[in-house]
This record gives sequence, structure tokens and C-alpha cells, in this order.
Amino acid sequence: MKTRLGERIGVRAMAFLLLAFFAGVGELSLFGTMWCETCNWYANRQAKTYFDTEAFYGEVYRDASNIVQIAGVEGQTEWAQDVFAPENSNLTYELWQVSGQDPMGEGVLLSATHASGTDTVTGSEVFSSEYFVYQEEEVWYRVDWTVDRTLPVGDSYYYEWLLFINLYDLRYQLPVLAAVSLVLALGLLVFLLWNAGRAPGGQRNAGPAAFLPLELYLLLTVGLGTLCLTLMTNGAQNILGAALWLIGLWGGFLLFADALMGVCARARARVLFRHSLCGGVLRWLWRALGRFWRWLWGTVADLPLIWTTLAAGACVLLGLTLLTAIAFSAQDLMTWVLWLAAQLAVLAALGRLAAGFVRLRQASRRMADGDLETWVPIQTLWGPLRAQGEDLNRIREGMSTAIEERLRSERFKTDLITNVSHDLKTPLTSIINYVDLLQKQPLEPQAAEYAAVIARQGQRLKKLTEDLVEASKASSGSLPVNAEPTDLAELLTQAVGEYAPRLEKSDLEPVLQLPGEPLWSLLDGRLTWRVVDNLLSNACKYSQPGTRVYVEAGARAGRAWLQVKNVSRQQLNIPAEELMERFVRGDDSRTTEGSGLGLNIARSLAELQGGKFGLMIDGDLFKAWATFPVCDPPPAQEPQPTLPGPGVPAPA
Amino acid sequence: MYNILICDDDADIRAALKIYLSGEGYGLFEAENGAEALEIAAREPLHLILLDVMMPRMDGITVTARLRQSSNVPIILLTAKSEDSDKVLGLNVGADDYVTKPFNPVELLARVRSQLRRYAQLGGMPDAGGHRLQVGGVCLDDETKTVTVDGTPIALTPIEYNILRLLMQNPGRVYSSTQIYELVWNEPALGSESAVAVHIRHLREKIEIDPSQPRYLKVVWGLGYKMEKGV
Repeated sequence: MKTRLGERIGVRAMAFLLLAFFAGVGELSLFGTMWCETCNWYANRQAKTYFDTEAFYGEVYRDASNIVQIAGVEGQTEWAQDVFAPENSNLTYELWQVSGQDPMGEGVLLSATHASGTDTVTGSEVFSSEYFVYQEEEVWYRVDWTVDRTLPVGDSYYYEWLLFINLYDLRYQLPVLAAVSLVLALGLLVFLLWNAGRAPGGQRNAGPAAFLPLELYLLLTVGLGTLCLTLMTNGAQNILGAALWLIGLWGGFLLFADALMGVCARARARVLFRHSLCGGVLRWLWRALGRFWRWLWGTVADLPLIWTTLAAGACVLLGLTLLTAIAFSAQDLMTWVLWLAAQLAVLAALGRLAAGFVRLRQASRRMADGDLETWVPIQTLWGPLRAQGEDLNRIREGMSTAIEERLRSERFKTDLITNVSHDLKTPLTSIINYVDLLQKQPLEPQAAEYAAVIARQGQRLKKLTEDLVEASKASSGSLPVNAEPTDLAELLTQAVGEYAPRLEKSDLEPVLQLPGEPLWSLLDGRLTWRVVDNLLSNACKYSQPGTRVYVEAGARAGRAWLQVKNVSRQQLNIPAEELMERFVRGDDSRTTEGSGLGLNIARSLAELQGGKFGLMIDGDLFKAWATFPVCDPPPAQEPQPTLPGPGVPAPA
Repeated sequence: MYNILICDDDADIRAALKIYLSGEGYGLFEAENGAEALEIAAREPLHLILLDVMMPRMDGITVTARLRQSSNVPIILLTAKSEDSDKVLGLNVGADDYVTKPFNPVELLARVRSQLRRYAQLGGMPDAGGHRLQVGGVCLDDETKTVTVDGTPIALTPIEYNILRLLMQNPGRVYSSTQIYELVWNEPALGSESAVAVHIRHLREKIEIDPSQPRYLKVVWGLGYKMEKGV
């Protein structure tokens, strides 16, 4: 079997690595796009430098609010001065407490740090104390901030500036990259899910983590994935946050993808529930129930069927009566529903029993009709019916074996007979020829008589070997049958014509009684002729001279029949059935010509063509009949031939 | 004088055939197997070969096929097999006739005579004019109203003659008893068809060597009668 690409574990590992890569790239570029969007780089306003971007002002606003909270509201000025000292931060500040009416006017300087650089950008932010904490008295603060444009300190301004100078020019490529990467990642994910659980050669396995039960595997992957996702909750407020956010999303995505792949692989290998803790527990419970049931059944099955039936019937009747009584006294809906369910359950059980019985019945009927291909479907049967079905199947098997055996031995016998009679024919040829030569010599009367006996018996032996071969072939069914629509009436006319000289010699008068119209039947003409041939031959041999031989045909109930009737010369003291066996003849005909195979051959040949053959003996009246199914006349009849010129004038 | 080769592995049968055939005045050669038969056929001028089918070293079918490559000498197969398929096979490879063992000496001699006559007349046969019908060795002259089988004239009744003429006009075609009756008797059959069968039987006894195994006038059981085509 060809190994498909997705069935190789190496290819799938590579695909997973690519998935991780593209997911990462896609996520990063998506994040970059979002960042560009927050920086408003897609808007019309074109930022020339980092210090004109929204992101920069957002950062400043956050720092300013931190300063107000730490140094102003909480009064920890030293901490703020330490955090925003020029050697720690690119942003330096002056924090003023001002009046609410004129925030930009003079106030009280609370805290300040001072930068040394000259290339700066400056600005002010005003906050109310209510922004941070509720106080009786509202206090206003102003932060005058200064950011050194040279960014000497490696703080978030520096890294955002780095991002800016790297990302700003890429802002239109990023969404495209994000889309392409995500589509690729999605495609790879589909490929991986589709091929999960496949192995080379069309085999299936549950994947590399198959040793873990389903629940453990899901706990591991989904749990770790969820943990990764919680990393995102801090938000991407600063660089560290953003990095955690990115790693969390990426890891979560990959772990969830892994969980999905594991589930798919298990489903494909059909071990999704089998190799899980729940499945195990359920299976164990089911087995325990089965054992219990078998134990119960084994106990009951050993009791006689009649006792178990009576006991079960009594239980069911008692239970139903009890339930009915309860339902009547309780008069609430649930009990009635229960009552109905119980009735239905009993009905269903009865129906199932009846269905099994019907199946058994149908199968045994088919077997009785001779269809030995039938099996009783024992899987669907139950209890004692199943045992019955198994017995029937065994009978069927024994019978078909016996029939096969018989057919084989019959065929073997045919081969043997054919070969033996073939070998008999060569010496027989010499015997017949030399007796003939002998008879041509001048012989004494006594010797001539002996030679005549040898000649006669030689001819009889010849006929016997021929009949033997034909009988064995006909009865073993190894004769080819070329069935064609054949007119039985025409055939009988022809046969009686053929036999006219022999009948005349035996002093018999043929009486042909035909329906006057063709009797079409699907027959092999030559084989049917052999049937009639044997019957007429018997009539010639065994009829009382001076009587009539009736040859009749007709159609009745879809079958064409023919029969030959003659009056036996000898008393027929053998049952008709026995006459058809091989080598059986009327007692006194043993010494005369004939092999005793004629009727047997006739019956075999008739049956070979789908016909029936029978004999009737009524005193000295001997009647042989055969019937065949009728068929439609052959189509396209030849056109009536024209008169072919003048012939010899026929005598009137 | 005609030369005949007898080829059979059974010495007794060869001897018997020799007695019968020498009584008719034929020149005889004997062969014990197929190879020997081919040797003699190559050496001697033969007019007929009697060939056993089941022989050691080379069987009769093979010998027939070999001989037919170079010669059209008549071949009669002697066979103990009487199955139809064997006969058909023998005739298909080029045999002219067959006799099944154990055979009737009279019948065998008749077949030998028939084959020799046809072989000798081959090529010298007068043209079959419009008034002559011929099927195999059977020849019907519609002008002189005579019928010959392998050159021997035979006597037929007018009905028999008309039936034979009808069948020979369309060799291979099957005529039912009713059709034959209506065309020959020239009146509706009305249940008299059985007469046809009797006439046909007589006709066969006159033109066939073995009437129960006809070569020319065949019974198609249940359908009718026909003159075999291309014998």
C-alpha cells in the first residue's frame, strides 16, 4: 500500500514545528499591527519621529500618573525621585501642587528630578487627587515632564523607540504577513488534525502520547494551555508584559492544538473512550454487570425450562398486578408512567421471543424445502431459541457435507464407469469382429449355433457398456444440456416415425394423440429424444404383440406432458418406483435383450432438463410419463417457404 | 487397386480389419502407432487411412493434423470414445469420417467404399448444373429424377424423392413435419404429419450407411429435419 505523506510521523513533526513557527510569526506580526494601530500609524497623521506618536504620549501619561500617585497622593517622594532619576529614566519631572482654578499657574513644588541633556521634549499633565483616591478635600497636581530625546537610559521609552524605528516602515507589510502566517498556520493545523492517528500503510495509532489516559492527556495539555493563557491577563502594558502576553498566547495556542490533535488521533484509532479513565470505569462496571448476569443466568438455566418459565411468568404477573394496585391507590402521574413502562417492557419481551421463534421457523422451513445455503441467524436469538438455532445449523452443516460427499462419489463413479467401459470396448471390438469372421466360415450346424450365441451376447455387451456410460453420466449431471424452445408434439411425431419399422416388427400399432398445436418447452431435443427413445424401445421389447402403443402429449397447468402406454407381455410384479432403479427389470425380461438401464436413463435425462418422470402400473397396463415446464414459442419464425418448383407427381 | 493404411495399436483389431479389407481386394499397409503411420504415408501412395484415436506415442488426432498439411487422402477415425466433443474435434482437424468401437464390420466396409468412391471421383465429378443438387456424396438429378449416393444409384418412391429434393434445395435449413407435409403433399397437414417421419426414416435407410447416426439427413429433435450443410 502506498504510504501517504501525512502518514509519516517525521512529516507531521515537521508540520508541527512549522505550525509553531508560523503561529509565532503570525502572532508577532498581528501584535505589531495592533501596536501600529494604537500608535495611529494608519491614520492620516504621519508621525515623523517617535516623540510625535500616540504611544509616546500614552507612555508619558502613564508615567505622569504614577508620579502623582507615588510622590503626590502617597507622599513617597524619595521613591519617585529614585525611579525617575536621570540615570534610571529618560523622563524627568517637576511635581507641582496647584489650585483647581488655575492648574497651569504657580503652585507648591513637591518633588523633582532633573535631566542633564539639552535635546528634550517637554510637556505638562494635570491630575486631580480624586483620580486616585477619594478625599474630603480635592487636591490638584501638575506634572511638568521632560524626556531626553537622545534616550540615554534603556527604559521603556528606549525600547518603544526601537520598536518605532523598526516597525514604522513595516506598518503596511505587517498585516499581510500576519494574514499569510495565520492562514498557513491554520492550514497546517487542518493537515495535522486530518492526519492525526494515521500511520504508514493505512494503519492507525493513537499518537505519541497514547500511553496517557485521555483525561490525563487533556489535563496536561489543556491545563498547561490555560496556564499559558493566564500569562496574558497582566496585559501588555510594558515590554515584559507584552513578551509574557505573546508567549502566553503562543504557548496556549500550541497546547490547545496539541490537545485537539490528541483527541483526533485517539478517535481515528478508535481508542477515544477505551483509553480513558471514565471508559475504563464504565467498562469495568459493564463487565461486572455481565458477570453478575451470567452468574444469575447460569443458576437459572440449570433449572428445567418449564420451571423457569413458570417462575418468571409468575413473577411478571405478580409484579404487574402489584404495580397496577399501587398505581390505582397512588393516583399520581409518575406511578402511572411507571406502570405503562412496565407493561410495554413485558410486551417488548414477548414480541422479541415471538420474533426469534418466527426466524427459527422461517429458517427451518427453508431447510425443509431443500435450501441448504440457509443459516439460522443465531446472533439475534435468545436463550433456548438460540440453542435450537445452533442445533439446526449443525444439522444443516451435516446434511450439506453428506450431499457434497455423495456428489463427489457419484462423479468418481461416473469417471470410473466411463474409463472401464472405454477399456472394455477394445477387446469387445475384436470379439465382435472375429465372431463375425467365424460365422462366415463353413461351420457345422452346432458350431454355427454357438457362434450365433457369442455374436448376440457380444452385441448385448456392447449395448450394455454404452448404456452404462450414459446412465452414470445422466445421473451425475455431467451431461451438457443445450436447452432451446422445442416442440414436444413435433418431437413425438418424429420419434414415432423413427420407431415405425421396429414397432411393426414387434407387431405393435402406434397411436399418436397430440393436441394439434405445438407444445413449446425449453428442452435439449437430443436428450428428450433419448427419453422417448428409451420408452419406445421398452415398449417394443416388452409389449404384448398385437396390442396398441399409445403415445400422447398435452399441456396442463403450465407443464407439457407426454406419456407412453403399452400392455406388458409379462406380469409386472415389481413396484413402479423400483423399476426405475438401475439394473432392475421385470422378472422374466432378464434373459432377453436390454440392459435394465433404460428407465433409469430416461428419468435422469428428464430430471436433468428440469422435468419430472414417473411410471404407473395398473395390472398389465404400463404407463410412463414425463412433464416439462412450458415456455414461450421461439420468436422470429422463418417465413413460410415457397413451393420449390414442380416435383414428381405424388400418388394420391 | 486402392491402397489402405490400417493404423491401430491392437494387433487383433488390425488383423480383423485386414481380413475384411483384403476380402474386398484392397492393397493393405499396417502401422502400430502414429509415427509409423506418418512414415508409411510419406513412402507409399495411399488412397485411404483407417486411424485409431487412442494410440501410444502419437494419437490419431495429431496424425490427422500432420497428414492434412500435405495430403487430402480420406481418413476414417476409429474411436472408442463416443463423446460428441471427440467426434467434432476429429472432424475439425480434417478427418472425413469416424467409426466408434466396437464397430459393425459391414458398416465400416460401407464407409470405406463411400470414401474411396468420393476420393476417386474428386475433380472428375460432372458440374452440378441447375437441375443437379449435390450434398456430400448424395447427388440428385432433377431432370432424370435419379438419386445417387457415392455414385451408386438408389431407388426412391416419389414422396421420398420430393422430400429429399425439398431438403437438398436448402441444405442446413430446418423444415418441420408440417411444412414438409404441406410442401410435398401440397395440402394442409391436419394431423397427418406423422407420415413424414416414417418417410424420412425410410429415406435415411436408403441413403445413410448407419441410419441411427445419419451423416446427411439429420433429425433436429422437436423442430424438424434438415439436410446437413457442407458434408
